[in-house]
Amino acid sequence: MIPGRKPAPPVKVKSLQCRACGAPIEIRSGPRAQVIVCAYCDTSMDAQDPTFKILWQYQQQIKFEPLIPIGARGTLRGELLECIGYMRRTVTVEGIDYTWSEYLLYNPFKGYRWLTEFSGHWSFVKECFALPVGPNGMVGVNPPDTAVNYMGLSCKHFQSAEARVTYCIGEFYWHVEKNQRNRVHDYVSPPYVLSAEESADEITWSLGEYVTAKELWDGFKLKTAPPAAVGVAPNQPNPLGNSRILWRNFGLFTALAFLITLFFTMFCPSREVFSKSFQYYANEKEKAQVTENFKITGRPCNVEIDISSSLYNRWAMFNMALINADTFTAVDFGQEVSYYHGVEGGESWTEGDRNSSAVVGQVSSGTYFLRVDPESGTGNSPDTFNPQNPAPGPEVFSYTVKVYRDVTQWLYFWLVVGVLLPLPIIQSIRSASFENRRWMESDHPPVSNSSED
Amino acid sequence: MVTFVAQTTGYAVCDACQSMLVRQNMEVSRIGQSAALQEDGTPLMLGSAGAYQKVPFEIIGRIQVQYSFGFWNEWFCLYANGNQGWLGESQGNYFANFQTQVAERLPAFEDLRRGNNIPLNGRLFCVTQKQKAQVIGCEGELPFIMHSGYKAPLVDLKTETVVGATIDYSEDTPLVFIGETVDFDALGFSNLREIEAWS
Repeated sequence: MIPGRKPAPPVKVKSLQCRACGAPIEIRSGPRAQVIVCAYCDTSMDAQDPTFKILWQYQQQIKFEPLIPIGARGTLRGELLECIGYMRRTVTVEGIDYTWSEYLLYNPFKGYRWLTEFSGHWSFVKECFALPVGPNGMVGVNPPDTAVNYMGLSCKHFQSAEARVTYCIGEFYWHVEKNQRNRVHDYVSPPYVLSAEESADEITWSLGEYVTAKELWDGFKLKTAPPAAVGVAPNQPNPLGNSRILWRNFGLFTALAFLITLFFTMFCPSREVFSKSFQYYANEKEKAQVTENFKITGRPCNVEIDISSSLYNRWAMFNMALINADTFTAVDFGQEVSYYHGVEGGESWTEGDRNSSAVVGQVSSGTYFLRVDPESGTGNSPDTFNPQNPAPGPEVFSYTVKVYRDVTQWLYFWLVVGVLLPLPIIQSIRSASFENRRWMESDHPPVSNSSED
Repeated sequence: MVTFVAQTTGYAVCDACQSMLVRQNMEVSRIGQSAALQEDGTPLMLGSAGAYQKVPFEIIGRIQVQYSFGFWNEWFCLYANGNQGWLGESQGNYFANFQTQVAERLPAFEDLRRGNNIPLNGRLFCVTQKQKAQVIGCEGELPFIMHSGYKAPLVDLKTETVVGATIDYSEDTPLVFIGETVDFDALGFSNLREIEAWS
């Protein structure tokens, strides 16, 4: 504190009677108001003039009642604000008038905010203090009709038009006049709308954020019913979300389903068609076995024939044939297994695999049986393997033949894809139609997109 | 009573009679008269305190000018670390700025147009407004003084961030003030002026 200094006198609310109709008026923004328009008789007065000189008197044919009454206080996004002015502005595009409402909100410490309303869609607007950057750098003059970047937010040009004031009541911090014309430019990046307003000696940039009527009605504790939102607002968030995100999620899900299927294919057995266990006796003369018939149904598929054996320190060669029981056509193939185990220098070692599998491709549906003719030995395996003196294994071992058809898992995968795919497609179509409706109202309607992009 | 709080300021305006005083070699002499300041609804006053970039400051002086859109105050701030700075304030907007020496030779006031980009210490600023703002008057302690009624040739510049600048072309060597727009809440004000129905 500076010693001995008296605090400045308080800022007072100014009260007056309308110079034209005598209605009591309070100037809520005090000395900052430039113009005050009587809500009863539309007379505009100079708020800076000690006698509140009349500036103009219009008979505004239709009276509009602001949905947020002048004098209402509310909290919006953490800021206490009072509604002090209301105006309507109109643009004419191809002969059609579009009118929106603007509510001027005030806080003596934080300054001015706006609420704009068009067809039940609301935006909460603040002045910008940074400049957007366009194709030619910072936009200090001539806002472009391309995208601009504001503080990292890429905003697409939506519309440029001349707006005129068609109705105003309350107080304003500039010299508002009916039919005052300004060129306005809107750029959108939902939920934001970046606007440039050109006046004689300045461009004012502002950033609006889409707000729901519910948030406003809650914030201002209004008892009335808010107007229903009609159509699509330039900065209305797409309720269907960004279809790109949906597609990404679809892609991720499909990839996950693919990996899971791949996992099952690799690590989980396919559908078993037939299974039978046999004993191998080295001293048996006729070692060949013939299985019972089994059916393979459905479309032609890959058939996997697995052998799992209990042999120990020996090899076995299985000469096999998959024989169609109706036509007696056979597919011959062989499988070999060998398994050796020993201890060398105190360390246990194993070599080979007791199990084996073979795949026969494109087997049509029908009745089949297998013929299995095993050979087995100890040292002199068919391959070049020659173990160092493993103790010869028993001459009897069991082996199991199993027949699988692969097929089904990929069907599930495609079912998943088939069920999921329509979702992003439908969402994309609906989202695109929402974007279409948004951009139909802009200077860049979707039909001409192809020529512009 | 006129108090010089800051050791380096040269000027002060008497609270009682609005005499503008200059301090030179321990001598104080009267150099003019400030007009009464206009009521502009500002929530700040001499003695209001705040903090910018965590450095506390106190407001000790004020220059009030009138732009086309209304009143603008430049509040002269004495920082706790000894720095001196300004707080531009108008209609609830705050611009913390400091007089800055720039390396570049500045274009003449007449040559500047809105939209021009000029470098200030290597960074590009864009001219957003150019006008002669009428000085209403001064109060408190100031590093320089502006006479009431004087039309100060001022150029406002912005950037793609909240950093901005004001160039005052009153003197042969223009004075450059660089700063940034700051939210009211971020300035942590105390000892604000009372505002009816709000304080």
